[in-house]
Amino acid sequence: MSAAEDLHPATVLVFFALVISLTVFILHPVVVSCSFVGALLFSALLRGLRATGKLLAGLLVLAAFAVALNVLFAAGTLRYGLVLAVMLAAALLWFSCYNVVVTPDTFLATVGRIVPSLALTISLALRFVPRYLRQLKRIAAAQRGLGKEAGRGLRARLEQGFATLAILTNWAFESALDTADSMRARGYGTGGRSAYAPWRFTRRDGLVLAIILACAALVVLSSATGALSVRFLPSFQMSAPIAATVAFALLCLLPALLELRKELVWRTLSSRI
Amino acid sequence: MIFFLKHHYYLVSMVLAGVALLLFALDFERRRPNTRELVLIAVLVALAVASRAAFFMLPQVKPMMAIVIIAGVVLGARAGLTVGALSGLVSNFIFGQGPWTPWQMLGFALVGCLAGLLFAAHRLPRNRWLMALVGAVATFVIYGLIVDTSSVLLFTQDLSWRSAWPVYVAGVPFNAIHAATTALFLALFGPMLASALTRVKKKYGLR
Repeated sequence: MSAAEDLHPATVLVFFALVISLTVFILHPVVVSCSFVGALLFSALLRGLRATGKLLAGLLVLAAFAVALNVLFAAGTLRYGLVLAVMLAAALLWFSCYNVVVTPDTFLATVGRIVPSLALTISLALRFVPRYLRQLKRIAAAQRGLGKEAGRGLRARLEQGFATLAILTNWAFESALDTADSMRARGYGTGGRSAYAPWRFTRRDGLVLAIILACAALVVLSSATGALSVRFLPSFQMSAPIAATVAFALLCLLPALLELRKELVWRTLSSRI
Repeated sequence: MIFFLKHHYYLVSMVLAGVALLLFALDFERRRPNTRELVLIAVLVALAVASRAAFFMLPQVKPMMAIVIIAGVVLGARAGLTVGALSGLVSNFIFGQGPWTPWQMLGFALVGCLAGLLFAAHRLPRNRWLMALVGAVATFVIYGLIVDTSSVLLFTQDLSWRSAWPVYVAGVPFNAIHAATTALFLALFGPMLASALTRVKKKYGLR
């Protein structure tokens, strides 16, 4: 259970949207470093050291590619290439945390208020995917029972794949239109839709959201006025006011801090029992 | 100042992609699709995503684009667009969201839309070889260009030919395999899927 799951999905989505876009668009050495450290800590707490290490190894290859591309082909400097590489790594680390924290249903509960039909279509599709995968296994078992096992060659495997998919397709269309009629019989589309959403926007959400927005606003303001700026060519120049740096660092460390706080509360409470 | 403007290419492109996807979404809502249309679209999206699993023994074969194209061919440009965009989104719920999601959604959506514009209402004959050819070209050119350009913008935050060509060259093998498998899938499986979809469309009186 992540601390982020105790928060309202809107708070979590706002956090990820802001931290990722600030990292990518401000592209400042201080900003990308803070973001990278924050994302790395959060990922380590959320996904464990091993998974984070594995991801880092993959990111290193990507970062090397970004540096090479910018230094060798674009007119960039090594510094610029490195900043870009750290930015990429930070953004992808944040996305890897996003994929753990924001499950499809949290996403749909938030988006469903704006685009209800689309959200319903997506949740239907998400429900159909595992159903089809199970059906694919059943079809394959039935095919084996009939003695139509896939051969070893490429052609045989392709043929088997197509045959399985053809059976699945016809089954899927028929059963889905039954689903549609049954939905209509139950009154879909006669009124507004409610979502099963156990989330409530609590005072804690208000507090966390206020911190997020205040930090982000300070960084954006600082960047827009030119106080937080960087220049790579013709010579490297950079300025980073303390206020903006602290604000962005706080923003990036917020998820890790919340995670640690939850862990600490859990430990102290359980030791008292 | 130049660098300040420079790395806004990515910001501007992201905002444009977001606005395009939002417009698709609002158009879908505004038309108030009935239950059957909605479920049929969900089925096509799920089939597109699950089809990767049917070919798990051949990991490079991803029939997703071919299913999106057939949806456009039979149900029209709008449906192709919706099935394409949603397939991109839903498959990334399973394989992981990232900065690539909006671009993949746009790529699939535009190819599905093009297939609808060309083949729906029988403008072009639904010949399996013609569908395969159009599918391969559209996958290579439209989807490949969109996704690779997004990589250029993300990797260099710049839009110059000097830094772009290595990314495009690196993308060629992937796009070529994607285009070839889409063509193969359309040629071998396209007519069967199209006739199954046409039958369902007729049987249930969908527009």
